[in-house]
Order: sequence, then structure tokens, then C-alpha cells
Amino acid sequence: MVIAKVYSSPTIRRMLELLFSNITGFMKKNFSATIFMPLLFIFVHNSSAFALEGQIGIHDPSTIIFCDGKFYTYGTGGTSLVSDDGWTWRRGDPLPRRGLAPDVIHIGDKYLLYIAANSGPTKADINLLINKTLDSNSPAYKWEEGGVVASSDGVEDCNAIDPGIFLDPNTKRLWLTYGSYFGYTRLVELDPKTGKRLNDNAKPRNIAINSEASTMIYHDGWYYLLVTHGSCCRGADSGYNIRVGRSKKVTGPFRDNMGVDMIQGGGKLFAGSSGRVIGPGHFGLFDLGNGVQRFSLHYEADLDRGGGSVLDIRPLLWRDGWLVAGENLREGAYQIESLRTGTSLELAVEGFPVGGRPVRRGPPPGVSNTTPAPANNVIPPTAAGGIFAGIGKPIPSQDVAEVSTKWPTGNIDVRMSNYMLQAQQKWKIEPVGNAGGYLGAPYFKITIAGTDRTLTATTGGELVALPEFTGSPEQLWRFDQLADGSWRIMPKAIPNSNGPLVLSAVGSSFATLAKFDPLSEKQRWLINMP
Amino acid sequence: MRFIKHIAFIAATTLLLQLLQINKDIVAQTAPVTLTKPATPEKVPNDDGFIQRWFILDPITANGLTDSVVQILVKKEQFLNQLTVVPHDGDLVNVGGAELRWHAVDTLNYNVNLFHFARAQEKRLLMFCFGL
Repeated sequence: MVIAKVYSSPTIRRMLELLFSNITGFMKKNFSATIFMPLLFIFVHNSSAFALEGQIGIHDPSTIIFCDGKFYTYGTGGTSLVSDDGWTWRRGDPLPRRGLAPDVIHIGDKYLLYIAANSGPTKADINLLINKTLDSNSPAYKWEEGGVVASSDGVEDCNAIDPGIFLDPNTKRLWLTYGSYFGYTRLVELDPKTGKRLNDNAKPRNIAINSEASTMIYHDGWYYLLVTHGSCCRGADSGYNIRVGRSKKVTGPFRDNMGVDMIQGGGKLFAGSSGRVIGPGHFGLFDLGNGVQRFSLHYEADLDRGGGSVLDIRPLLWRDGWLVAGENLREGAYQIESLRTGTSLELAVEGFPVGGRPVRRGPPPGVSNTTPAPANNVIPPTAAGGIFAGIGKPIPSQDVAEVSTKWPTGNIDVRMSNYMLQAQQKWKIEPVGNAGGYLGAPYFKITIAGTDRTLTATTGGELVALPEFTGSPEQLWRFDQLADGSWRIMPKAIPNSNGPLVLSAVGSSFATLAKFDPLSEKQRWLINMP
Repeated sequence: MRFIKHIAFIAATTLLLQLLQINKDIVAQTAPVTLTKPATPEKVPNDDGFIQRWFILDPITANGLTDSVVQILVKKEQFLNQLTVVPHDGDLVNVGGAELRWHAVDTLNYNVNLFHFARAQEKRLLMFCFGL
């Protein structure tokens, strides 16, 4: 067996740091388990992928943060991105410090931003910057230096870069994790009132090794330490992947799903390369409330954007106490099934069986029959299997152009029914250009596949299928993947309605729009490939 | 002297490829020490199964660190019986005209920190790979 790792980075400092990395003598008894590949819980297969819109080039993005109606993130080199809706991004004003991998948090009336800088190989400082707003157009916008909150001396087993800031929701204590591939990821406590180090003499605690981009989150009684393993900064040759361990205490030990301590190299895979993107890293949580969570990250290389490093925002799911990286909804034709009832959304039209209505003649299998030969679509009476034998050749999928001629030409009601692969049950979900979006995704239109019949919210919070797509807000739909992998579906706007309402099942046969209840299954939908 | 019994094979097949440079500055400060000379004749893996006693060979220079270069170097017989010999601390072997020394070490951790190893020799580790 050969273990060989090569690291590189765009700066000499970082290169040296990486070259100084450890090689581990990892000979765990249960070594075979280290190649365990977790299966992702995914309801959707892609037909085409979407990246965020606009200027999304960034490396080592901070946690996305919301301030005065806009979303912000900051990256290595002091870069910043800003967005009005979370979907289309543009360049923001640079930070006064152009260091490595910032992270930011909002506490009280202040935004605390931490950013690192190497002054030698593995010799680094993490500096605090403070501002009252992130909006550079505000008169209150002014970055103030808060001093060094953590450092490494160039000899110790740590490189104090890649800060990750975490406010414990239980204790309200503020923690900073930091470190890189050289040595340990460390934890120190900060003063939530000032953002500065709480006790300069307190020895940092080692909590992980051979990791970068650490950050911590809390969920359902557990503290989760997210880190990035692998090599960075080499485009499509970057092995970045996001790993996670968890602990009942904020101070660790953080163990992965196999029980391996992250300080011994453990870490459950959370997000790896897939599709057309390579090298995910730098996890950041954005909690939308009501159990809807997103995570931000960057890919070292987006093949559709020339291999550049870009920002992405994806749904965050949970399964068996572990984070699962969700996928943004992708264009395709789908069955929209109620998680609660198992019935599916459809146009309220006369259903027509796939392949036509067979005229079944003849006896059950094994019973002799002398009935004359049947016409087309009729079970041959002498076929093996009798009335259960089928027609003896493949049946094509239902042609929507053929069956839709029988549908009313005007508005059609929408209801739910047992899914039978019929045309009025297959919905094309596709993004709408220049219609804006929300955090991580564009607005979509929902039409019966192969037609212009468009799912539309109506006055009073009901549903109807209009004959045409007009682009009005009541025909633009938002899809939020929930923690269990199901989807919340809501229109951008509802005529004469103020509050947001979401697609909701009523019994097994009807759907309406209703206020979202995170504890109910009525508003959870499965988006299945037909 | 035999330092180990349980892991003789693994230790004997350890091959370290490094480029080293002397750097006095880096040892002028107090550095972490996680590698020590073995003080007992035998050492078993720790409770977690990690092997904590190793033989490390002085670095063999590698011209580049691509996967193919490493594969060639690791598979090449650098010295006689390299895959079967059980070395002793201080043993010397000739590799490409250079006298390289075997070092017996115990690690306090689950891993062998080669940066610490290099620093203990007052050398800076610039590049390495590691083969078993």
C-alpha cells in the first residue's frame, strides 16, 4: 500500500504549510470501514444542473449572513459577494484586510468578522474586524480593528488560519475554531460582547487534525464539527471534501459515524465532488427557520464555469442524526406526491389508461377458451397468462398531445389522485429566467409536461391550472428541500394575500395553499422521477 | 536489538522519501515532541489499534512528487531485501550511493508526525511521501 498526498496552494506560504503536513500511521483495527461510502438520501435525479446566477467567483467563502435585506459572503483575498435575493450575486466592497478564509457572525448590534493572515510558514494571526452594518451604502458602515484573537508561532502544531465562529445556542458562549492542514484544528472561547478572546491565557483545545475550514453547528443535542479534508487550490485536481464529526460537548471529542475521533483523522463524508463540480469545501450554515436549512460552500472547480472556484448554496438535510447534503431542484418532468397521503398532484380531467383501455377477454390462466381472436389492445385469449398476459409488446408512454385534446381548453382544477403514469399527472418543473429567486435557487414554473397548462395560485389561496404561462408571481414557485428530503412548494405571491402560503394536501384528493406547519406532513411533497 | 515483534514486517517495509534542508531557525523555538526513542523491548498497538512503534529510514531524494514518480520509487528495490529485512536502530543502508540510517521511534500519538521527525534532526521537511 502506498499513501501519497500532494498539496499545493496559490501562495508560497500556504504551499509550505501544506508541504509540512503530517503523514499518519493510520492502522486502525477496523481499517476496512474507512472506505465506507455513505449513501445519500436523494429523491431527485438531475436532468440539468443550476449554478447560482451572476458573479459567484469566490474561494473560501464565509458563512452567508443577512443584513438589511441583503445576503453577504466574504472570501480569501478580502473579496465579498452580495445578493438581494440569494440567487443572483454581484461583487461587493472588499474588506480592509485581504487575508485568508474569513468568517462572520451577527451578535447584538455588531457584525464580527474574523480573517487570518500568514506571516510565515504556519505562523499566522486571526484578526477581528467589527462593523455595525455590512451595507457599504449605509452611513454606519465602518470596519474597526478588534485585534488578534488567535495565533500560531510557526513551530507549534497548528496554523492559525481558516477561522470558524460559533455561538452556542444553549449557553450563548462564543467559540472560535481554526487551523489548517498543518497540525491541529483548535478551539478557543471568545467574549460574545466584544468578539475578542475571553481569556488570553487559556490554552487552545485541539479538536481535529489534518483539516481546514472548520466550523461548528448545533442540532438536536449534538455539536457538529464541519471540516474540509483534501487538497485545495488546484482547480479540478483539488481533492477538497467536507467531513463531519459530532459531540455532546462543544469541546469534543468529535467522532464520526464509525466512532473515530476527528483528532485521529476521523470525519464522516458530508459532501464530495459530483456532477460537474469538484472539490467542495468551507461549509457554512444558513438557517431559514421552520426547519428549513441551507449550507453554503465553494467548489474548487466548476467545470461549467471554466474550472473556476465558485459559491454554491444547497439544502441541508438530516438523517439518523447526521447532516446530509441536499441537491437543489433540477429541471425535469416529475410526479409530485404528497408525503402524507401518497397521492399525487394532477389536473382534474378524465384519466385515460396508458396504452388505452384493454378489452380483456378470456379466462384466467389455465382455463381453456375458444373465444375468437381479439382486436388491437385486446388480450389474446390463448396467450400464456390468459387475461393477465398483456399485449405481447412494449407499451409506449402516454402521448400528452393525444390525450390532452380531450381536456377542457380553459382553466382546469387541480386535485390529487393515485399515480397511474398518466399525462395529467406529470409536471415539468423548470427555472424561469430573469424572474429572480431565493437563497440558492431560482423561481420555477410548473406545467403539465408537453403542454402550457400552468400551476397557478389563485385569489383565496387555491390552485388552478391556467392554459398559458404568463410569468406572473402566482405562477412562479419556490422549492425548499426540508430536513427529511421532502419539499416545501410555495408560490412567489398569491393574489390579494399577504402571508406566504404553501402547497398543502387536503385529505387524499385535494390540494390547496395553507400556512406552513413544520410539524405537519400536509405540506411535504416528494418530487419523484416519473 | 529487536524493538518489535508484532509489526516487524510493516516496519521493515517502510520507505520514506523526503527532501530535507537544514534550518537552524526552526529548532531555535520550543517545538512539540511526539517521537521518542523506544525504551522497552516490545510494544503492542494501543487500545484503538494504532501502531505506535516504527522504523523510519532517512529520506530518499525524489525528483518530483507526481503519482507516477512516487510509484516508480516505491516499487524500486532501493536496497537489498528491503521488503523483508528487519532493521535495527542505527542500521545503515546504501541507497544510490548515499548512506541512510534507520531510526526507531515511539510515537505518543496515533500517528507518526514526520514533521516532528525532521525537526528532531534539525532538518526541514519540504516534501515527502510515505509507503508501507
